[in-house]
Amino acid sequence: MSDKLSVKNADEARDVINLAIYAGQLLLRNGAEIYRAEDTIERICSTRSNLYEVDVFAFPTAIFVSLEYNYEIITVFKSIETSTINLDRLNDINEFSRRFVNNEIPLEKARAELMRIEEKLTYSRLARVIFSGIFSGFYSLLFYGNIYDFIITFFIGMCLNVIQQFFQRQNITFLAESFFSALFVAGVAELAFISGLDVSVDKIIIAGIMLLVPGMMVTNALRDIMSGDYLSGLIGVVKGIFISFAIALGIGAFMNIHINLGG
Amino acid sequence: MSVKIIIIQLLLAYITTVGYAVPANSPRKLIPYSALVGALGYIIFFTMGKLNINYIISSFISAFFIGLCGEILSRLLKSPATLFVLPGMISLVPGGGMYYAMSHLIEQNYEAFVLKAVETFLIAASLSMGIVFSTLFSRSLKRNRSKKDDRPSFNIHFQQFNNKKL
Repeated sequence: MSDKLSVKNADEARDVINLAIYAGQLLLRNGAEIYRAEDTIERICSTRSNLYEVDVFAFPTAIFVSLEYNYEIITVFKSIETSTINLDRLNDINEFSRRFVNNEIPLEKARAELMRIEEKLTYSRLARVIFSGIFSGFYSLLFYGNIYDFIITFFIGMCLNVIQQFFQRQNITFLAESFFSALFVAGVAELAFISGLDVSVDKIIIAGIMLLVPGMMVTNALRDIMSGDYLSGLIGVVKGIFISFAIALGIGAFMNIHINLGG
Repeated sequence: MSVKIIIIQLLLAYITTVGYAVPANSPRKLIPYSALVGALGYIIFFTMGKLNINYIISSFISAFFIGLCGEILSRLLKSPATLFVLPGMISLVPGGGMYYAMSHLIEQNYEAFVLKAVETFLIAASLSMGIVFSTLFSRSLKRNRSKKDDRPSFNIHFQQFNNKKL
């Protein structure tokens, strides 16, 4: 406790709290759990011995931090725009926060370090597209798909990654993203069926929509609820339900045709 | 059920997990571990399914296994457990159930739709239960709030109250 650093003035206190909230923002934006973001912010703020009563409240869409310095309460609120999954950044920020808490990174360099993490590119876009195809393709094989199913789902997986990245760059709502992606999956499956290939439409669609289904989101949300972050959990469950509806609409549009064709 | 099928499924699940880990930007040196966790978890699920064990129980047990592996690996490799749990769980996510529920809905077979939808939701719930149970004894669930020692408080009454207590 005695070798802890302390802040000299209110500006430095604000620097620490801004750094902490930046780290939390990065964590939530890249798909971390709520408790991890709260824990990281609290740890970073608690490295300074004269910052008291650190309180953090995080949502998937916003963070609130409040602490006390020199008989004055400093509260910062920050909203979080989009969130994707980037596990490498989570790993790096985890590493960063451990080093920061052990005073291995000075406060002046910390922000630059986080910015470096934010801009780091782990894999090239081509690699991500190809592995996305591998995921869908091998998922269809897991469900005893044949070679044609594999080839078509491989193609669907690669295209879906491109579509998703396009929608995320355009900042279009996640509902449209899921709807059009599902429409694409069902359309390609239907085309393959009509063209007379020896494919099973349901296997292709299941493997295709695995990249879209909010299963992970709902599972994480239920986990949030069980560990005490009720509001964040509800947000996740509701978002998951809406995404499922969008996917169902997209698939349903094409499956109607399939049934009418007598498939 | 032969050993050959299990080995083939193990390999397929391994590659599938790698295929999810790369678009999710998992760090290169951790991908083999998360893929192994995912493959073993899927094999537990698959074998139990072949033995006609209820899907809800088998997904709970395999999720528990994956969560436990994640916790152990996160200690050993000093990375968050999510890095192993998230890719590891992907082949267990009930995407098929969701699809069949939807297709029943479109065929206007509402009874089958409700059955399938409830089953899918229960599988998702038991997956998360498995993960929660595996983290029960780790730090991630016990929110260790910083110890409230005597500190100058904003409110002077509070300060006196604290001093009296100590």
